[in-house]
Amino acid sequence: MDERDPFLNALMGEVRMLLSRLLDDGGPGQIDLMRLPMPPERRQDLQDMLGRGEVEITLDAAGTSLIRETAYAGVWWIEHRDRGGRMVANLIEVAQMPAIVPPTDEEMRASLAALHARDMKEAGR
Amino acid sequence: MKPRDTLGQKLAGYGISRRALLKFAAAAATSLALPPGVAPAIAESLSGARRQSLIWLSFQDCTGCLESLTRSDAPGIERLIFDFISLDYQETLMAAAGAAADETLVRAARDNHGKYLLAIDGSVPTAEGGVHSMVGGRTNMDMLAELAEGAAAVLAIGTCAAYGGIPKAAPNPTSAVGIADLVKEKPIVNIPGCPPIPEVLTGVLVNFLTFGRLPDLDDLGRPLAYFGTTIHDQCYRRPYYDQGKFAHSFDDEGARQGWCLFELGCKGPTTRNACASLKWNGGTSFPIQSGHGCLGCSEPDFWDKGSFYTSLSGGEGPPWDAVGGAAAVGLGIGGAAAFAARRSRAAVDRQLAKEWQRDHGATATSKTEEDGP
Ligand code: SF4
Repeated sequence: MDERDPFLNALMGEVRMLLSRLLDDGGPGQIDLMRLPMPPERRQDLQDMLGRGEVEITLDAAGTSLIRETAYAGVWWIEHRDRGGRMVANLIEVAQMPAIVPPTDEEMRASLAALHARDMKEAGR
Repeated sequence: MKPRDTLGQKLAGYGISRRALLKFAAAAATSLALPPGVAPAIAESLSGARRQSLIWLSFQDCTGCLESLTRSDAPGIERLIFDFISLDYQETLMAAAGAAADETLVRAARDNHGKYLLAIDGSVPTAEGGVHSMVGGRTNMDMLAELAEGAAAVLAIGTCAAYGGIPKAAPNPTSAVGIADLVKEKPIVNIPGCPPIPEVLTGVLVNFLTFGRLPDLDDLGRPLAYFGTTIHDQCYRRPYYDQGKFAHSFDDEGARQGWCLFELGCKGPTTRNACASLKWNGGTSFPIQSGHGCLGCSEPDFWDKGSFYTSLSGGEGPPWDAVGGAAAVGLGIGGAAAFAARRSRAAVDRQLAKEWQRDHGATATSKTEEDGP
């Protein structure tokens, strides 16, 4: 871990600012790591600085994504990969839960309708 | 609300989940250098957008552009864009042929008049009335004039369509030109590269579908998000350049150590493209990573700029004064500050441009020459 890298220290400052904004109800925030100068060693240093939390989610949609809580609650490490395994987005998302995870009301309503239809079908047997 | 009316249901109809769309939007935002917070808005616009009509014509070309954009073992997420467009005409891909194909083109252009995007790969031969490339008895020149008139915008895909490319190389027997030489009344975006990078086309289409306009362009008509920096600025071998460590042949110790390929003719310092960051073949590699210098294929007249194996400074290595300065700055401050210091690479580029002009008698003055450091 390189605590002296001024670039990473600045990045951690941005994470702190986003988290404080979230707590002040300023809404979630993201940092796009693929648009920053992040050679593999620095990326690894950043991951080490952020540490690992208790939650890890695998998202399977047009390829596999990793959504991992860092040691800082509310700070998430996200890697979106396509079907070929190539990383297409690498984000830090500061939110209670990354927006891509929870289902929407619409989706849940559609599920409810599907479950209802299933019940009707079973009752008709 | 009927389930069929929901966003989730509509997307499911295309075989795309909301999460896949959000993921695509996150990748598109990254690719277009937009703030990541706009990804949900991109997803929302795309899901609400009408499928965009795209008419694609192939002129004087080798079909390599189309191969690059459509072939992939494991389709990347950027391929999702094809769910948001209606590719109404493309001779190589469509099943129809002959009169049926002609009718398809006429119908697509009529039904979407003023709204369709016109994509073109290949240059336009203009000698002898344009007879050197014809489709169905019509010259490319005629087809371009007619179809550009009804288009919302024109996408010149590949270096041939953008600037004339290889068909225009000396002695240019067909008097080939790029699209912008003939189309004056419509917005044009150039997506050069021999072939072009698929993600750039995706980014341009996402920008158009989401914001209803073409992305910001540089003075050669290329999207700034992808062509805003040189290959040299993003090259992972750049530290070796700054330290003056160069390969002198393709099998010397320097080549084995992965040192800079400048002296082997790399055109990275004068070439703007996104190969070094987006890479090729599903992000596997790009020419410099495979040990070969950049050919400069996304620049106008790249085929006529001397040997691919002659260095930009005429075979005598880089401008040592400028390199020495850059190396000293890089070594002195290190880390992220050194990255920031690389903004002064413009000084190196200016020096290279000067040498290039001196050696090749070019008259154009680089815009950066007037800019401050
Ligand atoms: S000259 Fe070519 S190989 Fe060397 S740093 Fe520049 S782009 Fe990379």
